Amino acid sequence: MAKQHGEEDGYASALGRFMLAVVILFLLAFFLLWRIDSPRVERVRMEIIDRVIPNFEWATAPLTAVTELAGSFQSYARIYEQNQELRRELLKMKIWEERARQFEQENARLLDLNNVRLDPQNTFVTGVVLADSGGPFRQTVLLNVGDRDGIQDGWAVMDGLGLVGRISGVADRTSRVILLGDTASQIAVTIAPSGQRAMILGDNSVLPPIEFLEKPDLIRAGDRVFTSGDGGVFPQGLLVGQVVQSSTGRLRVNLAADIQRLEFLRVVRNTTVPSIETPGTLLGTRPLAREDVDGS
Amino acid sequence: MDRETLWVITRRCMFVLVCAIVVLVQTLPLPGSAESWPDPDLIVAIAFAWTLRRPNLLPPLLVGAVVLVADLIMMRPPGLWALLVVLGCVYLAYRHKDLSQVMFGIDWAYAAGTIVAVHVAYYLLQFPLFLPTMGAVPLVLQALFTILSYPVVVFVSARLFDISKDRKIEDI
Repeated sequence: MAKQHGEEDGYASALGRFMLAVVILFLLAFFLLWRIDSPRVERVRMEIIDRVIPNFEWATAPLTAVTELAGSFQSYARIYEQNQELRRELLKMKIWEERARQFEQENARLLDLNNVRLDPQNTFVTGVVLADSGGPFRQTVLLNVGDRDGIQDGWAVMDGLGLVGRISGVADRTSRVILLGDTASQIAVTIAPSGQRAMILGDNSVLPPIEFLEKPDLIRAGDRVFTSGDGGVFPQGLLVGQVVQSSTGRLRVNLAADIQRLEFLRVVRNTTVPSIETPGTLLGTRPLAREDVDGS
Repeated sequence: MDRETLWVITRRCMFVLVCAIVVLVQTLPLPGSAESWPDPDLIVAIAFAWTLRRPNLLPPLLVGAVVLVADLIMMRPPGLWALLVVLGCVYLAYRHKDLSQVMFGIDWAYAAGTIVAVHVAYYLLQFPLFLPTMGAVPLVLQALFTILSYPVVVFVSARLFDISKDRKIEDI
């Protein structure tokens, strides 16, 4: 009879109960493995995402395009307002442009006087955002650049203007970016002009709080926040954002990056940090290359 | 292969397909998704609704595998959510006999209770397991939206996928 067929792998039969036990034990074991050896399972996770997500670009790209189109249709409604707004902003920008040109010339003269050579090693790899983590619980995005583009764990990620987060998890074709707002994100910063050091700890909000400040009195809303380079993970002096003060008096960062609308991201190649492998290299002198040793 | 087997297999394929679409749409990098309200967990709503109607339709292996892959892609701690959803399905499958003749309201109440229980268990387990903790508010909202999406899921399942309680096998 037809009905019996459905019963075979249901919950009632002996085989069904056995399968249920197997599934429960497997899920429990998988979770415990992740809890105990997280990096290894996270690598497995990255591999699986790497296999799955880029294959659906043909499906997600038009969907994204359609939703963005809907968004821009909404903005047509107030196109006149926007035009006025843009004109005003353009005027402001022209003033800034003039100032920037003056500063640029002054800067070039001063650099020339000091004979400074800027570090040429901070170059970019630009990637496109493929997916996010689907909800407000984690703040991460997936980029379409990975191991084959030379991306490494821990590199800083920026949009055109400010810091967005850091690479955490690299697979062959994709890499995962932990945004500054994620609870797993902690970065060391300096706050100009007072020069104080602090940490920015993500708390799943768009305005992450500034913690571990020595003298909060010296900080004003509007002060600019840069990476300090402490800890050696990030290069120094990347713009993070501006200080804002919440109604409860808590200091937070208004990120310079447009974190709500991430599309193209730059991964900052950071090869300046010497890798420390043995205690003897702690001072930063590179150990001899293998060829040198073999050749002598 | 008789008709019933074919029916069951096509419904299972549809479950996988629908869940894949749900995950892909949720992970679309749309503007403004960084700090927004949580989406209803439609996979849970579908799994619970279908299990309450046809307890043998979705075996625990299928539910576990689908939610585990969703866990992996959506950056949740892998396995925990899947385990809780499977346990929720088991509970509802055992309740199925009592609920086969009741009104929709009671059916909905049972599904809602299970959804709340799964979310509460997930929230409480964060602390002893040292998971990256999230606030209670998004979880409460997610549970609420999932419960509210349940009648819609049931309606669409009946209309589109032909999954309802009083379906006679002889009719097809």
